Amino acid sequence: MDIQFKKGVIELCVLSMLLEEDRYGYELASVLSKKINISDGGIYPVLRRLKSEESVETYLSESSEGPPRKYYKLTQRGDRQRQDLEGDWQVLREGVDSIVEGGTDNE
Amino acid sequence: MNKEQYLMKLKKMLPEYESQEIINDFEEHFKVGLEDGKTEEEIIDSLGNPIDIAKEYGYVEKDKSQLPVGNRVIALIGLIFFDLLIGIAIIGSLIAVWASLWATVVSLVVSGIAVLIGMFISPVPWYILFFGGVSILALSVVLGIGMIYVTKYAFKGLVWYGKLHGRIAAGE
Repeated sequence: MDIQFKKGVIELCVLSMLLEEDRYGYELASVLSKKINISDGGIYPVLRRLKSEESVETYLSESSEGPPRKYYKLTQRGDRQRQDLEGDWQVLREGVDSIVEGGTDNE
Repeated sequence: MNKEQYLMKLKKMLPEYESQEIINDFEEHFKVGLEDGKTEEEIIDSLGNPIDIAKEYGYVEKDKSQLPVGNRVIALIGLIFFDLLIGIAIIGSLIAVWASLWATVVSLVVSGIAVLIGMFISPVPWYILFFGGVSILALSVVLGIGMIYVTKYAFKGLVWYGKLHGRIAAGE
């Protein structure tokens, strides 16, 4: 997959998951690698970039077992970014679907 | 590869001012993964190649083993000076020694055969010439075998010395 394209898709997935609740890195990585075949390590560069763009914030929180975990929280800016990306994704998905299913006959 | 090796490999490719924070994230990933019942091997497998991860952070692999170009040029110029001033003299005289030893082998063979031929035409008792000739030939065979080894290793050494120039130029 094209790396830029993949980055955008992963960003959208991460931001959408954070819309529901704050999550830590391992959790995000597990869901992503299960649902869209990417390697766990690929999530951390994305999280770091989102943080530097102030789309997410981080805080440390104790867990019931083991060491404190770094949680990621969606910011307002991040939510706007999520909406933009989701819009892009809808347009892309409809466009791709129409080509895949019906060809270009109607134009 | 274990966790430490994996993290070291990743850390090596990241700039120092960022590496600690990034490594902390991966340390946490390992800890949570182990609590989740995975082994270090499984976690490493699912994390993916550290080189790819460093690339996604925007860093390409730095090869720290390479010397800077300036040092390489100086080292190569030094080596060429050595070739011209001393190397050629040393290698030249070694080649001369090598050639004369081979000449000795050839002359031993020739004289051994000559002594054996002498058995038929000389008044000296035949057994003296026979043993003399055989001894000389045996000596030439021993020296010849030794020289085959010397030639082989000398050739290898010369090739190594030649390649040294290329390796220094490449900065290894």
